[in-house]
Amino acid sequence: MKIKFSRPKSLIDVETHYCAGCGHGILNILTAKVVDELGIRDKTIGVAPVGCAVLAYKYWNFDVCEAAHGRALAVATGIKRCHPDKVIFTYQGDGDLASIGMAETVHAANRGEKITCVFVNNACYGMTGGQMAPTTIVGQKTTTTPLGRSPESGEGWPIKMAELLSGLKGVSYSVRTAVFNPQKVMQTYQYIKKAFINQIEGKGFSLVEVLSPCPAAWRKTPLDSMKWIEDEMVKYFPLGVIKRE
Amino acid sequence: MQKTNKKKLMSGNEAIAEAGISAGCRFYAGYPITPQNELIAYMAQNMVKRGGVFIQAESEIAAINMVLGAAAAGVRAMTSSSGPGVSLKQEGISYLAGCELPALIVNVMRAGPGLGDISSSQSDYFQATRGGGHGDYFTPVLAPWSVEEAVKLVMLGFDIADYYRNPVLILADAIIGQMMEPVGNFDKSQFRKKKESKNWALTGAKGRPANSIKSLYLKEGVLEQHNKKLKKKWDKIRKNEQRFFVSDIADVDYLIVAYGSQARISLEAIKMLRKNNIKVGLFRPISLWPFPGKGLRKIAEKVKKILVVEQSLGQMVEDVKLNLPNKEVYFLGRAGGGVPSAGEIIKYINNKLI
Amino acid sequence: MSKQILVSGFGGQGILSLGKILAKAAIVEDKNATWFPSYGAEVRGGTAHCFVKISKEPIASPFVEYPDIGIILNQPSLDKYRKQFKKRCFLILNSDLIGSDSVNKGIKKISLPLNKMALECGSLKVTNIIALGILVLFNPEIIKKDSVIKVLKETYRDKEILKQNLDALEKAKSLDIKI
Repeated sequence: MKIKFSRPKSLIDVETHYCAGCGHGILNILTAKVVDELGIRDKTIGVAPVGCAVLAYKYWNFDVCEAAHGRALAVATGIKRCHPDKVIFTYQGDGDLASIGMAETVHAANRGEKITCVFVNNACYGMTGGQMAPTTIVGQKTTTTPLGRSPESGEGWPIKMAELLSGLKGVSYSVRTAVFNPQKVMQTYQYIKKAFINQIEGKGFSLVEVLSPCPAAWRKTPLDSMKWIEDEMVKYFPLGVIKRE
Repeated sequence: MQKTNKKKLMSGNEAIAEAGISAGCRFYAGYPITPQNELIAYMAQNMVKRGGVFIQAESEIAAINMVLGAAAAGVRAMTSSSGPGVSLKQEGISYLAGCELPALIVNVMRAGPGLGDISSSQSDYFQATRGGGHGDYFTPVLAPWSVEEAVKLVMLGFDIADYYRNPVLILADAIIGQMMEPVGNFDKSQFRKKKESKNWALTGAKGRPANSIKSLYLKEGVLEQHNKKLKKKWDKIRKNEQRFFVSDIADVDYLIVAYGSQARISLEAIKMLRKNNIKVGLFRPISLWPFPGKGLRKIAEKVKKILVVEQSLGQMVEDVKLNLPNKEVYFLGRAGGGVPSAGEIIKYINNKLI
Repeated sequence: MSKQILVSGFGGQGILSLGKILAKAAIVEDKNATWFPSYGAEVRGGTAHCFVKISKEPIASPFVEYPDIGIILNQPSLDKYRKQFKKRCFLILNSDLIGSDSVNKGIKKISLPLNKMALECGSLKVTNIIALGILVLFNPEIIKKDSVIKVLKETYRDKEILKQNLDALEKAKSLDIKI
């Protein structure tokens, strides 16, 4: 009998610290699987953000650097410029990438850094207990928007990072995807793989924005969380390829 | 025929940059700010030619984090700025210390607080010598008093950084950054020759277990162990890396303690005072952290009174007093771009000390 | 003892480069030198100054309080530093831009239309070099003319510009200057 699915070699066999129904588990695995399939484990260097995924080096069996909150793409720039032959990717959440690290994100993308960025958009700050993120959708209740996010009250609109970055010349690939069903998970895998191949081929900055569940902060069951992405998040954050060069 | 002199006229800023490249620095990221702009310009003109990486970052914060990435990649890396920019870099410096990464950070001090102005100052002493960012850590701080010494200290600084796996600060004032002097020796072999292996660096996990660079320790008690390990390192630095310079201390009644450009101005005053048979000597800390207390205590034994002179309202003077609780310690300082002149120092000694 | 030189004028008059040429010439003569500029926002049109110290001994402070030589190319600079010029100071003034040039007694003062002389050499840009020519003519013990020529040759590769500068350096020689 042929084994179709197994733990990727780039993933360490340890117990997860993520909450039940969290999307990070899926995305940690997908990333490791891409690294395996491309045969680049010994030349991949990941950059972990501040947020729930900070402990990613517990799971990934390749070199990983931790970065301060928002600074992943600056750290990745430093590594990539020193090791242009290595494959460098960042794995960042929405607060990290689109709020405190917005400057680092926009400028790394604008410089066309040959880096792959996996952007996990769960519409809230998960690790700190579910506060408003730059991607929190209008009306969404969080601990800091108890009445629901209201642009009229000065809380701003959710930022569409994949679209925003696609306007920059340095960006060669920008897509948005989600993990609310198995088909979408496989689609996400293909997008991440493509974003890694882009880098290996020497193309510019590649972004994969993934709509991902945070049941704990959303105060929803894992299943309801998946449904909420499909029904609510996708309405504001359309899926698909936004830019491909 | 006149012999050719190999010395070149260079500003402190340019010489610091050249010293970095000569010391094997192959990554520089920075952001423009006066009075260190000649440094970033020199790097832009020379780093790539010499096989290194130069990036004008979008901010000081990005610059220090790029340096962190380069250091994690095992490359000698540096950045430079002045007070307002160095404040922004504190986050990254704390992470460098926490992650035990070597890097060189140059602060060409200007007057503050806030935006202040671009004139010379020594008012970042506290920030530099007390860690500066969050958490329990120290960074060795080296303060040059000439362009030539700036070159030496950059080279030494990189060696200290690599040896201890810790960020090192060069604390220059605007006078040192801006002034030009003949400088010639960029031979790095004058320093520690032992090359530290960087087997911890992120280079791809080829034929070895995966490496990770981190400063997060969530499990109970683990961070405390990490802190204890770091403390051992800093105790070792305290013991081994105290540096100072003395002048005119063979027969001395009064001792001036000053660093950087202010030590030079003080030496000018000492020369003039000595002409009038007033026995004044100079103690100049080269390492501000670790503060060279051992050397100071020994020399201070035979001295009547101490005068600390700074381009600040009194920062290093606290370290002097900590080391000399039983001595009369006087202070002469100016802030906001004011530089105590040789004339002012002479007047102060004549009026207050004698 | 170190020789202390103050150079001051408008930004764009070659104040800082005059100082640098002096310091480089000191290297040619195997002497120590320091050069300290005004820096920052003071560019063309603003006032600029620099301090140069030259000595066979190590130089302590790079600051000049009471200059041995003052090269002053405009009125505001003279007004700013007038009190710091003491006895035995040697002062070179640009009479084209300095109307009232009264200074303390006992100062050796040379006042010449440096702008006009520079134009005669072909460019206003060499005003500073004419002043430098006067300095080396009367103070060879500080810096020799040959050392300056060597630095100029290293600095200017363009033959025409070099010639202008060398002419400017010699310009004062042809005049019958009385101190």
